[in-house]
Amino acid sequence: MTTEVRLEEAQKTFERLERAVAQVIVGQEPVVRSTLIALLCRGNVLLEGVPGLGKTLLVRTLAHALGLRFSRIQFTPDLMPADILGTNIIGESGGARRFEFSRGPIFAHIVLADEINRATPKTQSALLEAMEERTVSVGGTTYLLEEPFIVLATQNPIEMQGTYPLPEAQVDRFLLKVNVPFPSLDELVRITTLNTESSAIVFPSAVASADDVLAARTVVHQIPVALGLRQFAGRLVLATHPDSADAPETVRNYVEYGASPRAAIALVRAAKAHAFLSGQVHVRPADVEAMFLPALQHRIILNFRGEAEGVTPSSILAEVWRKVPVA
Amino acid sequence: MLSADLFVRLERRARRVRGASWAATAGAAAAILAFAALLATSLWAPASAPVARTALAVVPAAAAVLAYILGRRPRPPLPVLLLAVDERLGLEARLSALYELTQHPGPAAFAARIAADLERLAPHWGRGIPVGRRPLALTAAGALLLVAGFALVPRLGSLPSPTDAPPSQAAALASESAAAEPSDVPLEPEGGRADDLGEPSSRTAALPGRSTALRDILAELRPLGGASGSPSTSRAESEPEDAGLRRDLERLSERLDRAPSPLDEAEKETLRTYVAETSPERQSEVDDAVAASDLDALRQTIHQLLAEAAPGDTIESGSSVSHLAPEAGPSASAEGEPSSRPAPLTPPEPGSELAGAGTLGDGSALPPGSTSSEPPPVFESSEVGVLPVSPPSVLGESGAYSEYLTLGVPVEPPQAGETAPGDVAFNFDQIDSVLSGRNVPDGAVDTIRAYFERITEENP
Repeated sequence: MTTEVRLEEAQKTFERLERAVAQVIVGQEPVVRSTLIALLCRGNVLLEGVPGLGKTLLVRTLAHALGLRFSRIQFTPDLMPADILGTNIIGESGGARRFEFSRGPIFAHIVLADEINRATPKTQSALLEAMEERTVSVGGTTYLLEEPFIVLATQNPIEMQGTYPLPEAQVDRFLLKVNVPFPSLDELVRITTLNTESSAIVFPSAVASADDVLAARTVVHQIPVALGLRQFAGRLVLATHPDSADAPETVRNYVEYGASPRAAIALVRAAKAHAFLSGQVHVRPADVEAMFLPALQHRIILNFRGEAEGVTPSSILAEVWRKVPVA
Repeated sequence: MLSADLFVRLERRARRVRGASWAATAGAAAAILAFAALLATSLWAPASAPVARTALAVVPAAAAVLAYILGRRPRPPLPVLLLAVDERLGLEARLSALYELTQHPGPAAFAARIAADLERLAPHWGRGIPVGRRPLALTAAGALLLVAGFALVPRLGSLPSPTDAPPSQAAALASESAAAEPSDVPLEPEGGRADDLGEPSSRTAALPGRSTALRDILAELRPLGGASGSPSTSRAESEPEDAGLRRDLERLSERLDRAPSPLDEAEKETLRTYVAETSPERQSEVDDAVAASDLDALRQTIHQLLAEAAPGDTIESGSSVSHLAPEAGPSASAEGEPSSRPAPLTPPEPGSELAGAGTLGDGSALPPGSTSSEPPPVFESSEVGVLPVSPPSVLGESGAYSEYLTLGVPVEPPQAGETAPGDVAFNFDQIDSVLSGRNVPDGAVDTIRAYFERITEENP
């Protein structure tokens, strides 16, 4: 009975959360849902899109709706790891001088790493420990990050000059990669109306708390996934490898490395959260399908031929989905 | 409420369906093979057709049963099976998730909600594991083959096969003649295949009758030919030996006629051997003549010996006459022969006009022994006056068969006390009485009467 109550409460909480975000963010439902899924799965999201699509606004709105701390880091080439993590400074307390740790912007619940690919790899790698281990190590001391913790990184896919593409190891740390689409005409009209008719953007009040998020995470973790679907997820991941017997022709031709085992984990976890947000208590093939592209597209490494011919991972994954049957 | 054994029932159904699928596949494959075998045996090995028909009925059924058993045996992977059922029934993996919760217990609320959803959807579980189209199609194909095999193939079996091509007329006659030849090997009835099939065709049923009729007719005709056949085998085997002895005796006779001089040892041995072989009762007479070196007596004795052998051969050559004289006197050469074989006539006594020589139609005498060493004469109707017997007979499919009466030597055994031994009665009245009791055609009787009148005039 306890679980049933928590299930219903958690689902209602996130329904309210989605509605609150939708009051500010026009359209972009898939992006919002992916963000919430990453929040429920203890993951991180890589948002890819051109500037001006409301990525920062989304993160700020989500933070307001959840009543969580929010920080935004603008990545630049001269950004240093200490600028993100924090640093030890000499302080004086009671007449004695000693080093004191000054926390950086990473110490928040929701961190927006804006244009993450503009920072150097050294600075980018400073996020690895925080994203995966939820800890920060500075000067021999490890600091725990407060849950719920989520990193939302953005990158501009067009302006590549002066950027540092994320290393594969770091990209793999992102649970999902979401392409932020350009809004439609109706959405644009609504966006302009909201930003020109009103005096200022009104962020929603908190409709949930950190505890609500953690409780929802527990519920999502208990959602059953059939063995057949887990096998299906595994076959999907294996089919992205060019040396796999089930790999379609496009994979053999254009893929250098397929998705990692972490991709299968991400797919199943994200499918669970997707089922939860869809009001279900079990994972469906539709949930796997919805999360297949966001969970795997940044884990496919194209070969030279694929890069040269402009093949996209999404097109390859679409072919994989068609070739691999559910049962 | 969902049945507790839902997963077990689904698994059983899946096994049954798989067994049925295997059975349909194996049964159809076996039916195809059995049908092909039946078709082949019906066309090329009709004797095996009943076996093939039995195989057509038994083999597919046995293969289907065996495949069903084997197909049911392995357990299907239940997670995969349930996910397939979910997909087929549109349950969105509810059944699989419920099974997962039974295997790894989770929150009861989840299981209850999933079960409630399943009850609400109320799927038709039987459709979750349907019998596919392929097994149904294979079953239908196998059934059609079975029906075709039982209904159609027997008709094909009655059609002429490439090896059953109708023989040419000459070949047919040859085979019939061969069939008429007595043999130690029993004749195989040609209708055996049809009998084996249980449906004898009109063609195959007609063959034995025709063959039997020809065989009977040829058996009746064999005495007229007088050449081959098992009844005369012993005689045929002894003939070369007798002929050799007779040739030696003829040469001895010619030598005595040409240059009368005493016999040397080799000639004496030849003479003794011949007498011992042919006329042992005259052995003492011959020995006396040889010991006395009486050349005239020897020559006469040799002529008599040759004459004793000559008439039988001559009469045998004109065997058709034998029908007219079945009651001829006993003959040494007739011993042991079947009664159907015409008995040689009693040889004429030495000194008679007919003694030592056969007689042709013109009454001229043959040289002594000439008929024994020569092949049987071929009588041409225009030369020797054979008389055709009308109407012509028809023997089976052989066409018209004309019978002829050839001019021969009609001889009646002498009546005791009327004639001396060796005399022949040439009274036509007696001959006429014999002919009248034997259904001799009128024309033939006239011819015989004319013949006797002629020879009576020449030999009163």
